[in-house]
Amino acid sequence: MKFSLNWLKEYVTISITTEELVNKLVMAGHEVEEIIELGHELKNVIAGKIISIEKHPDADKLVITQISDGTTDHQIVTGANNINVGDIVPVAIPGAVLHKGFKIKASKLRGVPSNGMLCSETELGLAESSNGIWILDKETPVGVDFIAYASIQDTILDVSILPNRGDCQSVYGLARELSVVLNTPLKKLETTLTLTDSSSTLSFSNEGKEFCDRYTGRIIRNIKKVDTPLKIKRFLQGMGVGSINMVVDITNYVLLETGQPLHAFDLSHVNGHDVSCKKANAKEKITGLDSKTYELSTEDYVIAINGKAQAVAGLIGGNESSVNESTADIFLEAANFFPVSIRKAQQRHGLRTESSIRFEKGTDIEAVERASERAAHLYQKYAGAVVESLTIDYKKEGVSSSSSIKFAYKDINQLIGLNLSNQDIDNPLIKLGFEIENDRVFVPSWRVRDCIDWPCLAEEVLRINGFDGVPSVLPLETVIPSKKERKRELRDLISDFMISNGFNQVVSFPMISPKVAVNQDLVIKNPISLEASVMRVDIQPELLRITEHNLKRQQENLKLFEVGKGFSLVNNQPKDTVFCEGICTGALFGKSYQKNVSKIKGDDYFIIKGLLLACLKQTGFNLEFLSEEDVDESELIESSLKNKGDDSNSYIPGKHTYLTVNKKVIGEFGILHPNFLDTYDISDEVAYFKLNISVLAKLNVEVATYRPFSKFPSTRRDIALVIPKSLAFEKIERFVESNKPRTLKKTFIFDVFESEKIGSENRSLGLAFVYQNDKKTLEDKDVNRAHDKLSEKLLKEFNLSTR
Amino acid sequence: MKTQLESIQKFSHDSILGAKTSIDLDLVKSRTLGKSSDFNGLMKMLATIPKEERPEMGKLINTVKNELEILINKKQKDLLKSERESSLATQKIDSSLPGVEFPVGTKHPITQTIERITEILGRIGFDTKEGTEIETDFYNFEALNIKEDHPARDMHDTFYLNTDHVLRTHTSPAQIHEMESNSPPIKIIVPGQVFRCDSDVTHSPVFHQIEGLYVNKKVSFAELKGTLSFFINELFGTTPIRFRPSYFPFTEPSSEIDVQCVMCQGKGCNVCGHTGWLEILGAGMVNREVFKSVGYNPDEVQGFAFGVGVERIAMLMHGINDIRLFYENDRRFLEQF
Ligand SMILES: [Zn+2]
Repeated sequence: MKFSLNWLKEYVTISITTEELVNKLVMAGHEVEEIIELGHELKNVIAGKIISIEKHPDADKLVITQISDGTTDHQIVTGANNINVGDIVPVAIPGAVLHKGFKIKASKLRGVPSNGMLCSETELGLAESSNGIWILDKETPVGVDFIAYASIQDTILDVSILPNRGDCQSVYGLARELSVVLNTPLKKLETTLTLTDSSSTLSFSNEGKEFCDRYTGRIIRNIKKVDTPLKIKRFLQGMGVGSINMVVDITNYVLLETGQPLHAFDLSHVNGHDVSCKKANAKEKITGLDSKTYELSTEDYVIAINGKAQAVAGLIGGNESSVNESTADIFLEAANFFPVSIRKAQQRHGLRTESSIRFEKGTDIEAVERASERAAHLYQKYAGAVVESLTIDYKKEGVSSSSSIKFAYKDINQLIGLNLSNQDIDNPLIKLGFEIENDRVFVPSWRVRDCIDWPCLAEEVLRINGFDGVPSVLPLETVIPSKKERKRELRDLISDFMISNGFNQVVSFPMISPKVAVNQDLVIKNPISLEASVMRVDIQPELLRITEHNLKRQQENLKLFEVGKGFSLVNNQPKDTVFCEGICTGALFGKSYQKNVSKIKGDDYFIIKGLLLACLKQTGFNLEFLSEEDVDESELIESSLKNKGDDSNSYIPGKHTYLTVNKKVIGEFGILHPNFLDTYDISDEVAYFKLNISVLAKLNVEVATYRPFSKFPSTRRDIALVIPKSLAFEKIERFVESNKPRTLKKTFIFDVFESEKIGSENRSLGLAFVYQNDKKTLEDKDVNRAHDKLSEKLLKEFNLSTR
Repeated sequence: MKTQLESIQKFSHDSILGAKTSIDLDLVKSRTLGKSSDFNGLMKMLATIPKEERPEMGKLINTVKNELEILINKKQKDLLKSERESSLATQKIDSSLPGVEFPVGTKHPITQTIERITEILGRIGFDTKEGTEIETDFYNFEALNIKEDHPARDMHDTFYLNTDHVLRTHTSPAQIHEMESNSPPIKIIVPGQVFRCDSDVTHSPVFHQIEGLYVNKKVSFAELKGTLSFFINELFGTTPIRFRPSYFPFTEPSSEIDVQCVMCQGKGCNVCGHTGWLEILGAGMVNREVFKSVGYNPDEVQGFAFGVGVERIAMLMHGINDIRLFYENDRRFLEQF
């Protein structure tokens, strides 16, 4: 909220610099977001009286004026046509500086000397545009320093008012804070009035007991058609409110000044009628002051005259009964409404007004009458109005403006961690308007919604005394941290492995576009954009989007991973799952002139397969692989690897495998299908993997048990098998495993190739068998016997030949 | 015969020393010691000399033969060494050519910052826990004393899901979960993603916070101040900090904590909005209403809570000026950390 420093100075003396003041405000909890200097460049502008206007001999559109400053006359040539002899106008004399640094010096216009310039509001930086020269009030003292006289120079502080400090949403409210912070007295609001008895009796009925605590109405007559006083105009303008006419300007002025919203009805619409605060009729329509039509519901509270809504209570006045240029008699409303209802009404109608933003944070019930008097005082002072005493003075039964809190000094000291004397606690509270009686504190009417429990008193003491005096103490109590959550431990281990192996960790949003979402089980009702409106089931879409982003920017040979969450709906309850997912494109080692290195593909199926095996081994798991055909769909669903709406066509056929640990599916990997990648505008080959850390975290890792290894040399025998491509190596592996002699320690592949010679339907597999005995050196004949027997069995089992 | 031996010895000796390559030496070796060598001839001749001279002569021949063998072996080693040297000299590489670029992985700066913070607070006994991103209204607001239609809800531009849930607007719901499932003393921090429907250069709809909570029988604001001062000093060094009053519905008294702007050292710049200070923490004493909502007796327990914005700190530490860089994940960005 914007505050005019000049206006604040009406109520408190401020003798420190703006910088010091801002610091004081910030340290009292009122953050200053911006400091705006108004008119500070202006110089040498006076109020001058036009003595004569003569035609310019050589220019039709110019006139020569003589301007008096009370002692001397100044000749000024101007093109203005809205001036008359006798008018008082702002005059920039030579040496003057106007808005945007525009300098004025003596000159000649078409041969006639001109010593200055007559000013419009625009030239003084007070309006965006204006119709001619600014004609001032006849009472303006001639020759006066106009910049000071019209309070043009001001400093505007944009203060962020905390949600609990509705009492500071007014100039007087902030001045009250300042008087405490600066330790200076707060001036009282001038409200002296000459009252006339109420001329009519208006009935008021409150049909919204839960909504309206207080309602007052006052008739004010014979408001003269006068200009709003310059100072009031300036203050309103400084706080961002435009001047309309005297009647409206005063209601706005008092609203900004006291924080109490006021509404002026044209008296002719109210007089002699019944006023009520009630719920609106369903679909009742009202046209507001903003000329927009609002459709009301039975949730809305209105101020009705003879049953017809004439204002949405606390939100906006109606057009029909509002004041206009010719209004001289008004019915001035000041009331107190229930904040929560106002807040809801704001949301329903998408409207926030100067009134509603104050009501929604709770207004001071004591301010109702004071604000009404203050406005009446101003109408009387500046426009000679006849002010009647309150015609409607309603106060709901049982409504109290004060509350009290039970407290103990020692509790406040203990909570802060200080040892303040009772007086050191009392002083700031008393200055803030609290009253203390033994173990009770009475809260001032403007703080009753905010101060409810005793820690609030500690807060006020801290706020006013400052935080500097509070010692810094480390809590000595030791709370033994629990064991690191297994999920987090695994996440860290796997991340570290990936990073050590050249992967860049990414962090993405869990909300994705419906275009790439497999289902729409969890959708954001109010997304910022459709592109981020569905909760992802896994990280893949974001990983691929990031891959696309990088590839498009010539960032090739990518190795990216993220540890993050996927979200799904299980039995109508959201469930999250932690995944580690990654992608690999291009060469494993990036670009290299070293040919043997540059040949290693990172998007190769077997590279990823080996990487994952190593990763899980380092993490303590024994990874096994399960083909698409052998996997059970229910297991995939259980492991969050398959979701509603998932289709499994995202991989190249045959280049996709599931990962298991202890027979439980924990992930998958493969080479993504080019058709699938089209969605992302990726033409590179992409290897992708996914590990479900939530599932992994539930699996046991056994503590390793030492197994002795043989001290004797091993012997190797090789076989080159020709196998049909349809025969998977794992079948051979499994057969060897279940038929191996005791001395066979290890089997591995040393060569795989395809060639015309062995037939395109075949593949050659070079298998090495390593034999070793734990107790002695194996003799050749023993190795041969065991090996021949095994190979014979193997060839027979699969009907294979050797090469 | 002795003269013959001497001449063979002399000749062989010269040939051995004269061999230029290991292959030459092999030839010399077979000529000197092989089957058809002069030594073999001498051995055969041994039978022709008088019987009593034979032992002495035989011994002499063997001695010479052994000497030559030793000489050959030594010469062979020398030759091999120099041949290897010259062969290696021809294979010389340009050692200034770049090495093979091993892929260098990186940890995301957000993760690094979270780890740095949890490490510091871990040292003074804060245990790291995890929360959930999808929350009910109760945990995100209600239990934290942000009742329906509380004006503070305006500060939380909340994303609502099609279920009865919201995306948590802060990590504070983790306080409620922790207090519901444990009894004091509690000393935890909870890092995680939070969501606000609000986006520009300084605001991202998704960002990271770290929540801290300490609950015990008696806890004072002084302890809050001590904890956060320690934390900030460990993170930024001995930078000036200031506590100023603020408002959060779930704490009372509440405070925001600023560090002196690291960019301008407090002189005022664009980063700090010309205030010289940067807000990095919100904190306060746990509101008694919050204790009531988790079933604690507010007269028996006290506590403090705080929340740190991770991005803000990462941006300050690394001089990052646009929050969106974190989520764009351009490799040229990632590789810098
Ligand atoms: Zn700065």
